[in-house]
Amino acid sequence: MNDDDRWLRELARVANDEQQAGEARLDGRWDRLSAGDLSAEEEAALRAEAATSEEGRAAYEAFRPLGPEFQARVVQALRDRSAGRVLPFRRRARQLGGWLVGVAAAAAVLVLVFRGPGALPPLPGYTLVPSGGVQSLRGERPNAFGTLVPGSTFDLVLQPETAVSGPVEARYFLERGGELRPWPVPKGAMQSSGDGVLKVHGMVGGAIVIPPGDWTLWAVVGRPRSLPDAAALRAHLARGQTRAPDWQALKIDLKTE
Amino acid sequence: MERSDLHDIVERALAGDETALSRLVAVLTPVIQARVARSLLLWRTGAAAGRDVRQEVEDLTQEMFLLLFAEGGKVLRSWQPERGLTLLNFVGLVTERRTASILRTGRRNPWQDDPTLSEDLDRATPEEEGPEEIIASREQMKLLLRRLTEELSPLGRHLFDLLFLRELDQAEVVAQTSLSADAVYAWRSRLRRLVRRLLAETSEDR
Repeated sequence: MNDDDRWLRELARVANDEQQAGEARLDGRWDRLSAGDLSAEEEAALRAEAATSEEGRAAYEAFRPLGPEFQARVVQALRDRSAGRVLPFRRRARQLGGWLVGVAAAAAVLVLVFRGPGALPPLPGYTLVPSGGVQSLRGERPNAFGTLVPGSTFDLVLQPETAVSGPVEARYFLERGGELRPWPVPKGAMQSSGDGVLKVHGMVGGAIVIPPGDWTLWAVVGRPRSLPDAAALRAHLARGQTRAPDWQALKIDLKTE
Repeated sequence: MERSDLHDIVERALAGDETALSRLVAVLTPVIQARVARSLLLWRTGAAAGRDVRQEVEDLTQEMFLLLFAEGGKVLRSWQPERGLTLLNFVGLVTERRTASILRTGRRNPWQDDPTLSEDLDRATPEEEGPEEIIASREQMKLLLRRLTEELSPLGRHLFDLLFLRELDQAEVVAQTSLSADAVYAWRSRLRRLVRRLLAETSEDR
């Protein structure tokens, strides 16, 4: 071992000592406090413990969760920066005093977005109601698309069993041959009734683009920020799971030409 | 959350997807806050120790986000999950590095610095001096460690931990990082050069 290695190992030892000393002063409960992972009892106990010293009070203030309002400010700051407006938030907040009403309104919207799904009531069951496409001569199959050809109307309604309070949104995926991929739906083709009913409406070959062939269309409806992406949905489906507390996945087969 | 999910969220957030951006900020805030808070409470001294710690945590946490997303997300894009660091660990190491630098230098504006996490540590190496002559006290070792933390990229710090803290052999490091044996060897050499340079700089500062 050369001198450099000896110094690196000594530094590693110091790093280890510092880490252990740090954990002795600020144990893992503080990280869990920031993450919002403490139970009410654990947090109350930590707070009571912290109140006994100046150092503890400072730690409580430092680790107490920054919360959705802070996160909304960060998102706004990143948007501003992306748009070429680089004022730091604190200065911006002071300078834009006259705009505070507007900022507060925006923050209220963002707070709603950032509310955890758990703060909203559970979703009722949903059903898919399809219509459109060219029906075969044997007559219309119940609850199914006809063959979707260019120019066909495409309507897909996600219908809750009871009215839904709070925001819901949906993601769509196409599956074939074991491959699941996102199906992008233009915003102009998506409609929402406000009581939980969501609808996709458009013309095949226009807003509705699906490559020819037989497909399974998955519609995943749920609370904002709770919807799985393709990889997560694949994993859920592989386990036979089509719903979770804040979302549910429904499928329908279709054929396009 | 699975690694592929996080990778997808990062990609979408950097591409301008607002839902993904909000989700990413929500996921990263606790780890950044906790690392900032820990560093502030354990390291801050002098005038910094008298400031409102809550405000300091908020300011530094926001600065970390601005750093991560600067220049089209250059820092975030440098996360390579196959190297063995989770996104949260990666961001945690970026935060530690940046906080250490801010606390040591007092420089706060992330736009004035190059936010990249260059792994090129091949700077000119000063003439060696006897290390025993340079550093005697534990406080100086802590200072040296802090400088090392500032200089190393998250991957460099990860390799430092694997090679010198956990003392894994080359094959184990290769397995954990997906780096080639040559790349691990090159990293060991970089770390040696870096500690040599920091020792020399510490000597000059005395």
